Amino acid sequence: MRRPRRIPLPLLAVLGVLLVQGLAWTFAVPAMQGADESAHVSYVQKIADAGVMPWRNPDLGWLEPSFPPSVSTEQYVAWVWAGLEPLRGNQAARPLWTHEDERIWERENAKLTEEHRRDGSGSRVFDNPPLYYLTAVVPYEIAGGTIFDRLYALRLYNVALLLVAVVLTWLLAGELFGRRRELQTLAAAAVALHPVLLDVSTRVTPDVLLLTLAAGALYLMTLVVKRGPSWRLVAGLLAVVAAACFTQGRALGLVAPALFAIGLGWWRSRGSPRPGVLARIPAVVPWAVGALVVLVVLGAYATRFDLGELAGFWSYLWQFYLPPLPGMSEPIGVSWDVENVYLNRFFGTFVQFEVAFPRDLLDAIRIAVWLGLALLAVSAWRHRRTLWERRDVVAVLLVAFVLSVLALHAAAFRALLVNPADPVITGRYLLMLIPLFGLAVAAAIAGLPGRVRAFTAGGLLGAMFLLQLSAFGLVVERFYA
Amino acid sequence: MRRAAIAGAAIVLVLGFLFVVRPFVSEQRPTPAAIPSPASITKTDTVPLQRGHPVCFTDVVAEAHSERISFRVSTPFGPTPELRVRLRGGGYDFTATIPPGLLDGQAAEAAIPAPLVDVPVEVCIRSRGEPLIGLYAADDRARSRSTAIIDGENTFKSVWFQFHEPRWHAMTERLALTIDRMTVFRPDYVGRVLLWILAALFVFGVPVAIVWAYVRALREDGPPAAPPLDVNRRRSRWRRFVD
Repeated sequence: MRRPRRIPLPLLAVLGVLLVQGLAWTFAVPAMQGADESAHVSYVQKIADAGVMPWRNPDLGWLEPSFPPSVSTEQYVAWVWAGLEPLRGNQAARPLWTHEDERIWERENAKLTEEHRRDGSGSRVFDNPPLYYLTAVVPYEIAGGTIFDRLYALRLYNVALLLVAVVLTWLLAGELFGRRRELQTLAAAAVALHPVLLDVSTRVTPDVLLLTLAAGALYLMTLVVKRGPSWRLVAGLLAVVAAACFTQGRALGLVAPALFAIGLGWWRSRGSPRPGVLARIPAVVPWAVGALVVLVVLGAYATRFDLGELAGFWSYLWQFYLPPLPGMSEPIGVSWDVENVYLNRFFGTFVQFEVAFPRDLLDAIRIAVWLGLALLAVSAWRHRRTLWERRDVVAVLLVAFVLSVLALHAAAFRALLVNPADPVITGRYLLMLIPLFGLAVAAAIAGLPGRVRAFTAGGLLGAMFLLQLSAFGLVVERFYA
Repeated sequence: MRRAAIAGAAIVLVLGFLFVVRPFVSEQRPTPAAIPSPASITKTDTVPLQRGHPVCFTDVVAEAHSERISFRVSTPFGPTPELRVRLRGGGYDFTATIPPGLLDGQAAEAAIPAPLVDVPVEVCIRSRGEPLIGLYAADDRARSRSTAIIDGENTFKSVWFQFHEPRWHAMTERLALTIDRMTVFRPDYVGRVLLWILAALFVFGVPVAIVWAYVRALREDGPPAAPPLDVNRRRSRWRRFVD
């Protein structure tokens, strides 16, 4: 008889850690305080209570998410009588935190009828694809009860999705590092302790399903190139990428990496190409054509099919990461660069951005990131033979990272052409690639020898926990002190 | 290897708790008892207050730790006259007097006796003289449920109004109260017991579990394959430590 597979204990411990943190963040932060959380709840409510699909529904007129008629009367009553809207992003406000406040809200809420759950015009969030909201209907309906019962059920659903994302990170690390428990644990723990991830994921938002599906897609991409493109794996990968696209438009950046993985897997499964220039030409040409097509599509999308803007896109992209070259004009939009996205927003801003790590802590994180990147380079050099053996997996993950980020920039530039005041791209969007962050942390640590590695890894885990605790403490201070 | 991992984590955690966590949670902070109507976010407005036309608002909960009230005055025509603030409801009835002489933009503050329990009250602010003054109020999305009413007319603006505790507190001093407050506007299962357990697990269980996970992973991986040892080659102390 086949023995059932045991879940590795380190993974169980990491999941336990994530569960505790996830529940703490879920219950500590008052309702409707996440980015557009109210609007996301409205979407679910529209499907569950009104039986209406908001996506591409011409019968619904969209309003600004903060405009009361955009949400149901039931939600609006909670906004006002539970003090949620004055609290949102308002440092001067504190939650209404007495049980008398609850009774006052209950008095008003008791006046509502079923119809008051169904009204509300909706907001631009209704333009989101529907998959997350459709799945969220299940916990919403199971919870029943008050608006708070249902909202917190949606948040708990997100915590469950986050657990899946960490399991997928573990599996992905297993494919890259060859089932080394130490590195798998580090990768999963780096994800589980990421403060912004916990903050974002424990609100009602489709971003959690997106990052979980993205983690699934990355894992399946590695399987496709390692095991070859069996129809099951390919179908699974395409289904997961499609599901991600039906969750959030940002997942479109995964389409090209998925096709690349399938192409690479298929190419590898045909055996190594024969040596010689002539034999190589047919193999190189399709890759070059593929890369060209992807770049043209990205360029056309970013510039709204006005290829005259390509130079502007290039200039924006360059100056996002690097100082301007001589002759480069100012990039379009407000001053918004790699530091804002990859450091401040990816590591250090919470709730509605009104809570942030202090500047000196962000400076310390910046130094740690640079050290980590240097260590990653050293590690890559030390393990160059292993890397070469697993070059397909590495290539797929790198392509996934680069193309996903390029797609985010393309979408940002496209939006900037219409509204230069909104930089669009933010650290939260990078969470889609959070498993790669975990892998990078583990890979960097892998570059160290023996006990030094263990000592550093222990210290790093301690530091990441402190970061997590600090973020949580700042959020508790913002709402309750 | 495992001892090195535990040592690394222990050093960072002890230093972190001593120099980051402890100062943060023990820092004395001004402690609001309740903020029924917060300051505006984008648009500050005022509601007029003149003699004989009190500004009243209801559904304000005076929290049991409230021992001071405060609001802000706009007085472009000279210092404020004496103001009286009456809080009444649920068996609580107290009128606080604010002496004259406040200048434009200053906060009006007065001591009140703390209610025995959290109690919903109506607040009425009266002017006892001239000139006409304004009370800072929110007319944007920070507007609370307690909008100001003057002579029976709703102004649809909420006067910035706060209850304070008499002295500053550290977060640790208010931990039980904070956890109690976290149960409000939550599902029924989110009670104090659950939150205490989560708090304890977060602060003590998570660091232990995460380090344990790593140490356990090291154990599951087993010792690394040792390179062939050349007995004739002397290894440095550093190399012996590292390996």
